[in-house]
Amino acid sequence: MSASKLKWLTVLSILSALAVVGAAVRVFAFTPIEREMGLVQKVFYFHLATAWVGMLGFIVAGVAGVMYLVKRSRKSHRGMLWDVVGLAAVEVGMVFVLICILTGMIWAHRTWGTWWTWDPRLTTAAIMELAYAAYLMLRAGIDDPERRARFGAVYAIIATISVPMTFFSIRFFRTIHPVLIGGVDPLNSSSMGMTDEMTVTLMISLAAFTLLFATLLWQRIRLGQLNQSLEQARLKLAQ
Amino acid sequence: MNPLMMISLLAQAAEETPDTGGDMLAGYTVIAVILLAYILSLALRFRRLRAEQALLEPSMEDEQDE
Repeated sequence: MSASKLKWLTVLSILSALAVVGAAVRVFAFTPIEREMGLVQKVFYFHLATAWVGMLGFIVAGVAGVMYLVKRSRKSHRGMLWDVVGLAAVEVGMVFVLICILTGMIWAHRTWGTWWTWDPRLTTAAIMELAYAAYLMLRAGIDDPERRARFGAVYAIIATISVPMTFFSIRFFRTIHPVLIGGVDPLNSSSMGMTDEMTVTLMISLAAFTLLFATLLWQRIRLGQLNQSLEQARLKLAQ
Repeated sequence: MNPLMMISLLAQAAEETPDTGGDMLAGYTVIAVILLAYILSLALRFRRLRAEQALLEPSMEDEQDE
């Protein structure tokens, strides 16, 4: 990696750390406490932000899969880079979706009185996370780099279906999960109205986590590139 | 406003808002632990790969010389 790129990555890392700390300060010190749920509602700002970046990661992986197949058909040497991007996006996306699911469970325990329920949103989110866990496991079982990359690309493209499935599940099915984008549902007991201050905090959290996602993705891509070059070196030495 | 009435209103508000501070703390602990664990895993994997790179580089140079 060139020195200028490394400098930009350092700047991005510092910015994203500051943004996440800033968002946390905003959540704790400058956002009102929701009257009916109390302090646990403050988890929601990071819960929603992690859901957003998690899904963004899976979409990036799908796009990287398409790019890999396109570059491969054109015999471009940059094809393998898209395989690295796809794997990095899945891994980072999974970390954020895991946080989203766990924080959602903590919130649900207090609001719904149960850690888990087979609600459409929770079920589709769990399916999405498991689908990508399977991606990592199945990929790891393939030795040939070309075959592994081709498999990863096709799998990531197909698995992208789970993202809109999860996002729209609360709109298509009867659910107890609050619909936050598009208004308050008066029939949903866990639905919450947000004040302007809460909306600003949510936007700041979304921006901070998007920055953090970009930083982690970039770092993971660097790691993947290093791993790929070492794998090539190992293969050369073995021949 | 009558101080007694004010105390009564505050008490009513306190009753309405449940104490869920422990759950909030648990939520933010989960977020911090998972993020830090992932960052640590990235750092450890980088270190392992760099060590391997340092081991492989002399062998690669020898092969190029040949």
